[in-house]
Amino acid sequence: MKSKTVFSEKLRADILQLKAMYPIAQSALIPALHRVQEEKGHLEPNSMLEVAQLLGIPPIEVMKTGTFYTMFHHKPVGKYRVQVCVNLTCSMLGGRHLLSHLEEKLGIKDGETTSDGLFTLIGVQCLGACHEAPVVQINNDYHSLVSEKKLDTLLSSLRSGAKR
Amino acid sequence: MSEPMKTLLAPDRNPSLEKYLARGGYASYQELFKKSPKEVVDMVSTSGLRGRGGAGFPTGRKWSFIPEKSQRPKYVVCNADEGEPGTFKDREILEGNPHLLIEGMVACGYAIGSNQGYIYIRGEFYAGYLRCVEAVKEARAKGYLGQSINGKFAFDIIVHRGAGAYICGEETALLDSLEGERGQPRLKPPFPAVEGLFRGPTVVNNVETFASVPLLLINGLDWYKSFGSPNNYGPKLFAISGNVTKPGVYELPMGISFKDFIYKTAGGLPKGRTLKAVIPGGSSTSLLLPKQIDIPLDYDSIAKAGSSLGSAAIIVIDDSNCMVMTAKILTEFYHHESCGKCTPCREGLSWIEQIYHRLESGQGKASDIPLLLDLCDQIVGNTFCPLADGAVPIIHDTIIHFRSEYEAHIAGKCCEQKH
Ligand SMILES: Cc1cc2nc3c(=O)[nH]c(=O)nc-3n(C[C@H](O)[C@H](O)[C@H](O)COP(=O)(O)O)c2cc1C
Ligand code: SF4
Repeated sequence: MKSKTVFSEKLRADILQLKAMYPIAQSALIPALHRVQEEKGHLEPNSMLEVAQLLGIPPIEVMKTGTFYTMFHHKPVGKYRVQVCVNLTCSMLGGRHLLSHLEEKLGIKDGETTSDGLFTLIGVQCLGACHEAPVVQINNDYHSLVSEKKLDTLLSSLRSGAKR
Repeated sequence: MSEPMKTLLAPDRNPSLEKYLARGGYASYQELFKKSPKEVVDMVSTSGLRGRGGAGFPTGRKWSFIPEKSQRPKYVVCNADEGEPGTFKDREILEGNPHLLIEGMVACGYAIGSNQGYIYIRGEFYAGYLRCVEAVKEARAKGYLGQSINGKFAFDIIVHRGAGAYICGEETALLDSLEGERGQPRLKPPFPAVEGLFRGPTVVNNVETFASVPLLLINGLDWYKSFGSPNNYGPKLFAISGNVTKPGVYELPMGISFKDFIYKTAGGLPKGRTLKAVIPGGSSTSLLLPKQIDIPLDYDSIAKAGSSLGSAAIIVIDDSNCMVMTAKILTEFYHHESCGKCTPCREGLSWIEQIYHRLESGQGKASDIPLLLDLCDQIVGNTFCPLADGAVPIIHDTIIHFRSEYEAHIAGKCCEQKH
C-alpha cells in the first residue's frame, strides 16, 4: 500500500539528495528527520512513513531511531522551543531557577506548550557551553549568561516578532 | 604562570580561509605528503599524543591498529558529540578553527589509507555544524579536500548531525547512530579499527585529537615535546566552569599548575567564597579536594591523585553548593542518558535517582547512605559500556567526603538549596 505524499517536492528532493550522500540509505535517516522537522515542526506518523519510503527502509527502523533521540518531537511543539539547561554548571549558577521562573510566567510545565502555540518549555541536559552558564537555547540559537530579566526581554521580543 | 596559547585555538576566532592560509594554514600538507603513511603514524606515536576525548588512549597506536589492506573501505570519524557535562572545548574548534580539524582528518586519512571522513557533531551545535559544512565546501573549492589533494591523495568529509543523546559520544554508539540506528554501544571486539563504520576499519578520534596533528606535522616533534612531560605532551585545551570568575576555554601547555590555573588563569573564586571540591575531567571523573590540587595539570598527575583528566573539563565547586544536590543533578543526567541496553545502568540509576529525590524532599532514611554505596558497587564493572561507571564517582565521592551533608538531609536539616 502506498501512503499518500505529505511532503513538498522540495522536501522529497532534499531527502533523496541526503540518501545519495551515504553508502547506505539508513545513514541519511537522522539528517532526513531533521529536515522534516525543520519544515513540519514535529514528526507525524505519516511523515515517518514517507521518510521510510523515500529511503527504502522499513518503517519500523524510522520509528526506532526517531523515538530514541531527544531532539525529535512526536507531538506538536511551539514556534519557539525554549531549552533551559538543568545540568550541573548551569544549575550552580541559577539554571533551574530560570526553568521555574518560566513555568510560572508561561503557566506551563517542563515539556508543555503554551496554548497560543508559541513556546514549548524544555529542561535539557548539558549544552556544551558551561562557561556561559546559565545557558538557554531557543530553537537553534544559544543565549548565554541568562538572567530572569534577560529571558523576559527575549521572550517578549519573540512574542512581538511573532505577531508581526 | 604560563600564558594561554593560540595554536589549537585560532588567534582570531573563526578566521576566513584567506586569513587562515595567510598564517600558514594547510601548510601541514607539504610535510604530510613528504612522508610515507607509516612515517606519519610513527611520528604521531613518537609524539606521545593521547586522545583528547576522555580516555587518553595513544593516538599513534590507535592508527597503527588499522590493517593496511582491507576488503571494505576504511573510514576516519571525528567524534564531535561533546556532551560530557562541563565540556565545551571542541566547540571552540568546530566554530572557531574548523580548517585545522579538516587538516588533521586528512592527515589521518593519508596515514591509514582512508578516503572518506565523517564529522559526527551533536545536534545542538547548529552554529558549529553550519561552520563545518561551510569550511568543508571552502576546502573542496581550493583543493584541500577532494579527488586530488596536492596531486597525491583523495579525501572528502561529510558533516553529520546527531539529534540529542549523550551516549552517542561513546564511539561504537556513535557509529550505530551514523548508520541511522538508535545510538547504543556495540559489543567489542570487534573494535572499530577492525570493523567499524559500514563494517570497514575505522579510526574514531576526538576533535581536538585531530586538530593536534597538523601542529605536530608543521612544528615537529621537538616543538610538540617542549610542552609537558613524558607521556603527557602537547598544547591542550582546558575548559573551566562553575564558581570561577573567568570561566572559559584556555589553551595551555600540559603540566601547568592546577592551582594556578584555577586561581590565576581562571580568576579564582567569587569574592568571599572558599573552594569545596573540583571535578577535574568532566562529570564522570572523581572529585578532587582543595588539598589535592597542588599538582601539575596533566593525565598522569591527576590519575595519581585518584581521578582522571578525562575530557579536561574542570568544574569548580565552592562552599555555596550542597554536595547532595550536586550528586542528584548528575544522577538525573546519567539516568536520563542511559540508553537502556543493560539492567544495572537502566534500573540502578533509576533507583539511585529516586533515593536522591527522597533525600531532597526530606524523606531520606539513614539506610539510604549504605544503600547508595551498595548500588554504586553493583554498577561498577557490571555494565555494557562506561556510561554507568561514569555516574558512580560523584555519588561515591560526595558520600565519602561530605557524608555530614547527607546526614543533615536525612535529619531534615537539609540545605536551603532546592534544585
Ligand atoms: C558515555 C561516553 C560518552 C563519550 N562522549 C565522548 C564525546 O562526547 N566526545 C569524545 O571525543 N569522546 C567521547 N567518549 C569517548 C569515546 O568513546 C572515544 O574514546 C573517543 O572518541 C576516542 O577519541 P580519542 O582517542 O581521540 O580521545 C565518550 C565515551 C563514553 C563511554
Ligand atoms: S551502561 Fe547504560 S548507556 Fe551503557 S550500554 Fe548499558 S544501559 Fe546503555
